[in-house]
Amino acid sequence: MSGAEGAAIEVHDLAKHYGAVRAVDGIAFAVRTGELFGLLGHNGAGKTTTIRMLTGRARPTAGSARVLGHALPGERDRVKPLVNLVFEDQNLYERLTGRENLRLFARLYGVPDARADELLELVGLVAAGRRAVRTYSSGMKQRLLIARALVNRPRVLFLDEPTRGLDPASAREVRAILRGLASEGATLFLTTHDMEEADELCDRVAFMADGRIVGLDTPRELKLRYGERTAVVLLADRTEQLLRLDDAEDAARLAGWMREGHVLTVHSREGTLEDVFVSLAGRPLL
Amino acid sequence: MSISLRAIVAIYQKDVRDALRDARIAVVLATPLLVGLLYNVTLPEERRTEVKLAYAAAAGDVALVESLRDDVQRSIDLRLLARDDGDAVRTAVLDRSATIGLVVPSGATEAMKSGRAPTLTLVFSTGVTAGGEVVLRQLDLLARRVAGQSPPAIVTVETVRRPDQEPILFTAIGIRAAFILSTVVMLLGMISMIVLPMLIAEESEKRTIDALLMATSYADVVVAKALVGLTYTGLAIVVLLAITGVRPADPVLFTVGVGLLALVLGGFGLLLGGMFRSAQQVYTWSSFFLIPVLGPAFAAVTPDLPPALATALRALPTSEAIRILANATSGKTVYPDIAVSVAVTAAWGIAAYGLLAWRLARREA
Repeated sequence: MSGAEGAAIEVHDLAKHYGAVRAVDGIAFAVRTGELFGLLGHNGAGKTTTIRMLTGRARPTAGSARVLGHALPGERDRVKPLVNLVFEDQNLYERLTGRENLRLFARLYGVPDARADELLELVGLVAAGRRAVRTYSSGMKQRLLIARALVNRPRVLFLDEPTRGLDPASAREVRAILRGLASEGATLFLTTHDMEEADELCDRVAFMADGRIVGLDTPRELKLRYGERTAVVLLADRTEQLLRLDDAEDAARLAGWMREGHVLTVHSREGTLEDVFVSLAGRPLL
Repeated sequence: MSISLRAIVAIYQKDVRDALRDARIAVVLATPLLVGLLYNVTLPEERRTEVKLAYAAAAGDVALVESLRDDVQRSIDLRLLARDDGDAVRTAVLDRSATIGLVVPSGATEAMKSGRAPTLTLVFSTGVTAGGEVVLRQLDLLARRVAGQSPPAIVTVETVRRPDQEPILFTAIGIRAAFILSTVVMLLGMISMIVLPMLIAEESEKRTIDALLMATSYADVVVAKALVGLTYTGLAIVVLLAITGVRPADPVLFTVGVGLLALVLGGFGLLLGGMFRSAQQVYTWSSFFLIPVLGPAFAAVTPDLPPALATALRALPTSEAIRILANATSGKTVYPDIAVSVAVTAAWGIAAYGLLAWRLARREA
């Protein structure tokens, strides 16, 4: 493996232009082996295009990308068996059963059919595996998509908006599966515009806006560096006051209320990734 | 462009299974077969009418009755039912176990040969039928022949046409066989220009193609789809021939003709599939593309086409393929220049697959 030590994915000045549109505009980052990496941004920020280039399905206009040491798109055929993708669309064969869907991909990858049954068990679809996929709920389809992407035991798994459109319970189930995969040492590259999900799941996140990466670090560091530390103070007259902890004037007001015994409760509040995104991208996510 | 046999087989199996569960494809495959059934009902005239002849004849005269059967076999299927005597023959006709009866007096054959005129009696229950008319005329000719009389004249039939005039298919191989050949072409056209593009367009529409391409190449997908088309073609043609009872006189040439046309049209179908974004679009627009495919097949059974149109149609692969199939079905040289037909059809195939390869190469790049 060349490049950064232990890097599963390395990207240098990667760009993809469609005519005058700069879908991805010179991004650079590295994802460590075993890391759960999140690429966050609004719709049209360039997240899916980035995944398309990293899975060899789109040719970069400029820059370079390596996955597991293989250059893309030149060594696409070498990368294919080592990676997989959970698509944003639920692109399953709806007239086939869940098991038939998985067996098709098991055969494409040359792994035994028994792998399909293992995966149905992993995602809790053993009983439903005999039914046509068109009868599945959205959450079941999403779990089947994840199972399909695991057929070839990928060393790097890309997930494009894996919980989009799911109800909270289904989203929770999907996140539990992802945490399980991460705990087993898989490298996961996740795109989402759900900041809470990224905060909860990801080791590191990169913010993408208008084809560029505008921030990259662990969620905690980003929040500490860019988020505003605040406190919600409940006063004796039952009014709430929001104070900025880094603001000297607000600190003096708080100290005054404390001295005068006006303060009933104080709750400190850490900045959110949403706040960080607004701060870095200059606009809200949605 | 790499090809993986394992991937092709996996996609092929999936497509065969998936397409069988798709009502739209079932309708497309069933339509020509229903047309074949319709022809069975509406064009039965090439089946020889079965006529049961109860006869009473001495042992020395049975050969005369058998000669009669051989003489009429081109027109009717004469089944001989031996009876002991004239009364038994009349009873058989009355109870309708026989259509007509023939009573041959003992020694009639020898009597005719010696110039005596024995009485041969044809027995009907409700007047002379069409089949009975044939038997009556042929019996008269047979009696003259046995008596050693020369026919007063030999009448032959000749069809003339201008040098630039095509043989009319239904006069050359029979109207029923001609229409069934048209249905064979219709079947090939519908599989190639509707089913195949639908299989590909639906993969694009549902984005399942993206999932396949994570594991394999577009070329594998295309080859698998082509094999699905050939499989459906083979099965559907066998079923159609079984339904209609058509047996090609030259099965090898017939297989070559069908195979060649299936490959050519399949190539264009695969190209079309890449042009459409949804299966519904294919359903909507495929009729437009079917016109140049099916047009020549039906023109071939249409007499007196304007020479310019006939010449233009000959440039199309279906037109050439139907010439091959006509020769193969009839076992006759209806169209003498079959090598040209094979060459023209193959040229279309080279064009289709050349375009497809170019498109695949662009996509891979």
